[in-house]
Amino acid sequence: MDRRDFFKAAASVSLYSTIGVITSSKTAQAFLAQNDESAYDLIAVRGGEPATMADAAMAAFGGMSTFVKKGQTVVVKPNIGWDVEPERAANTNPKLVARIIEHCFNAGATRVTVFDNTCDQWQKCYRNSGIERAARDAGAVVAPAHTEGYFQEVTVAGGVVLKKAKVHESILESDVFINLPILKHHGSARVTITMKNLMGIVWDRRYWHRNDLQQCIADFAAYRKPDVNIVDAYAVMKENGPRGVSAGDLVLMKSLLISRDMVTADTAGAKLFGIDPAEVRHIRLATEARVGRGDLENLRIKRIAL
Amino acid sequence: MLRRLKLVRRVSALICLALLTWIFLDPWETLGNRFIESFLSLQIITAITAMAGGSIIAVAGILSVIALTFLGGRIYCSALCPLGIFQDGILAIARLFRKKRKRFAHVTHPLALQYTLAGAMLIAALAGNMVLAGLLDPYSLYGRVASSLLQPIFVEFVNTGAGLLSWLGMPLFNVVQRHPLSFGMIGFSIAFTGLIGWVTVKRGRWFCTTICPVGGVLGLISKRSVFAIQFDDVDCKGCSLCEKVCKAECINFAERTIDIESCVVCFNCIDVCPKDGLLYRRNKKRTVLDVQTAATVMGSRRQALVQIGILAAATARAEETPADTLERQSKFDTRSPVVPPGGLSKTRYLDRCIGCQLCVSVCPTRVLQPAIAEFGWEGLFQPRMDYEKSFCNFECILCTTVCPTNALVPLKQVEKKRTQIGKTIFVKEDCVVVTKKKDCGACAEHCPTKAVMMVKSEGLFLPEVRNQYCIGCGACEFACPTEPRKAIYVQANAIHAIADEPPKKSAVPLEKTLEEFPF
Repeated sequence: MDRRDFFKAAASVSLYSTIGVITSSKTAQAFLAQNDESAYDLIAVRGGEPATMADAAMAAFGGMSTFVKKGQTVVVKPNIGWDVEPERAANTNPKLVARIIEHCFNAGATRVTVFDNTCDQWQKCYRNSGIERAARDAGAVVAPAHTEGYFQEVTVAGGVVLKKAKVHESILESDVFINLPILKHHGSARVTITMKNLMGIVWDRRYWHRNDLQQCIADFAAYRKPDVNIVDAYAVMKENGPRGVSAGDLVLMKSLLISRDMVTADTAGAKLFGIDPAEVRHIRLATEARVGRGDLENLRIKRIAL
Repeated sequence: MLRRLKLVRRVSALICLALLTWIFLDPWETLGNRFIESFLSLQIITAITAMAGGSIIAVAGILSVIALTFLGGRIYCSALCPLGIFQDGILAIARLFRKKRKRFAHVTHPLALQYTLAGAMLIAALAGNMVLAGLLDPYSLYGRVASSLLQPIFVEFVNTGAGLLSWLGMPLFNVVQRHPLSFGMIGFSIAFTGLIGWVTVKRGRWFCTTICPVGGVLGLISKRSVFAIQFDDVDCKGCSLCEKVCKAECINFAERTIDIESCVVCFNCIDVCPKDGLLYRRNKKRTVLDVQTAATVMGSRRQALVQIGILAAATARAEETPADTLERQSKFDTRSPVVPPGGLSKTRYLDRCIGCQLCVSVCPTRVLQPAIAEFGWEGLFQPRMDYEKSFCNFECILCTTVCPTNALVPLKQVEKKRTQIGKTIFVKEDCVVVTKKKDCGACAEHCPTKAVMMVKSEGLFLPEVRNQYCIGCGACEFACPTEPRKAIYVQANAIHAIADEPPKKSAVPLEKTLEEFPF
């Protein structure tokens, strides 16, 4: 081999190895992932039933296996806070809950746990919301959360007001955490979406109400970010939330939002609800604290109409 | 054939006690209201109270028990009375620990005392005071033990079992909610169980033959009963074993007589008799009372009437019910307690509630707690709504359906959701929104009618109360996080009112077709 050939060979080897190093590096992967189907920041679906919209959104993300690996345990936290029937849209739609559980098992999950620290009497909430039956039928374990014994204390890093909290054991024990709220009005927090839904995984909610509710919601959002957030916006309670007074409080929006980022999901959810996210203090605080990204204009959003 | 009577008594008694206890223990609402109502109509004192309120089933129950007693004597006392069967259970357990068998002996029962107590109880109840009834009614006495001692133990048992089964991979049933305990009631129940246990072990059915007003009344009827336990002088061997096993202490072997009014028809005597010296047969002597017995009975009745007269005078004076406080006089005042839905008014409720704790036992949120001094002394053990411990579930009507005296009348769900048992008072200066200038909203969150709703106020949201929609369920008071006092609380309605239906839009939701996402 003469010098020219040597240089050509060396150059190729260097070039290819550099490319190899670059493409295998995380930054490169992230860069490439931006053009990859499974790496949208937010997927918004409209026009279908909750289960079909979930299917479409999951597919756009590359399937539930993007979040759940074979052999992992999953905890799904819907909103089961109120003793009202599903038609009142105060709790997450049970059909959506069932479908998400099915996706988890299809992706190879060994166990799916469902729970919520409810506001009304827990057995009635679990039963009358339809979620207990739907979850059990889908093969999930429906866990109680009504006594302190099920919760363990954790520290909330970086909390301005909330420094520690007691979190439900299934959050601490499961590999994957799926946050499954329903979008609705809230009397004091303005709207309740993904970050507010996390109030159901802690024991002492009164502390939050007593010590700057909006700040506590934003603080806790930094504690453990769910692996994915799915927002039920099929029927949206526009007033008298979060419990609602009658079905007359609802507007049919037939939508669903999915994001890995709670601030993104909440920002989009607030806009969908019809309120400026900057007016919702816990969203503003979380955005400022960089718990997530609220600049939707810079994010990769996929919009699907069924 | 006669020998089997004791066995039949024991089996039916066990079933009856198990069913009645289950009514108190049941966390899964397995029994229907009709069944509970019918079954409890056999408990005399509560049935009479319900009958006074117009309950037909109560009349049927009372007539059944009277007919049964007229037919066969105080069968109720051995087969239907929860306290009686409970005492038999205590005796059975005591037998396991005894080296020597307990021997009973005949005593002359102080019927005067028993009739006096029954009369005094009746007069007090007619005057509106149920305390004596509550302390003498065997069903209510047992109900308190079942509610405050047996139920919490049962809950622990169920939860341990549920946990174990879940761990083994067979989640057959859910864990059950552990409810806040009433230490006053627990204390009473422990004291009462200790007392009745001691008395029973020493003197058998002493309570039934000396104190119990139901026993007194049924005893009077059983003197004329068609069937009764009697000596057959021909077959009697003379061993006197019958007197020794008679836990009602009513067999006088020396004279070969049985005090029918005290006999609880347990058939221990017939069971132990080696021959057929005792028979359960047509009551031959029922229309003929010998002079001596008549004199004793009349004497006790005269005595009783005199004593009743004295007690009546004493009870009649103590009828001043304290006026409801309408203003919050100081931040630490004791407020008038809230009467459960179905009570209709405080006076009516206090007149009829016997404090049996059945409503407390079935309440799914356990907001019902027995009052000790809150209603005054005459309201001892009568349940009130305790909004510090819990709140009233919007859709629930259980307490109104199970009440055996109709102190709480049965309400339909639609009625209950508009029954205003109290109004909401908001104390602005205690509210977190004012003191810390931060949003809270816990009260309005929980309000099922949005009588409490959040309104804009200086950049935050402040609660606003619209009492025309308030039903006094206490969800706001329970949810309020402020310490040491709640900033929002329910003030009792002395007379329950009807709330307006909250304004609702049309039931058909607007279909908002999403042209595009707003982002």
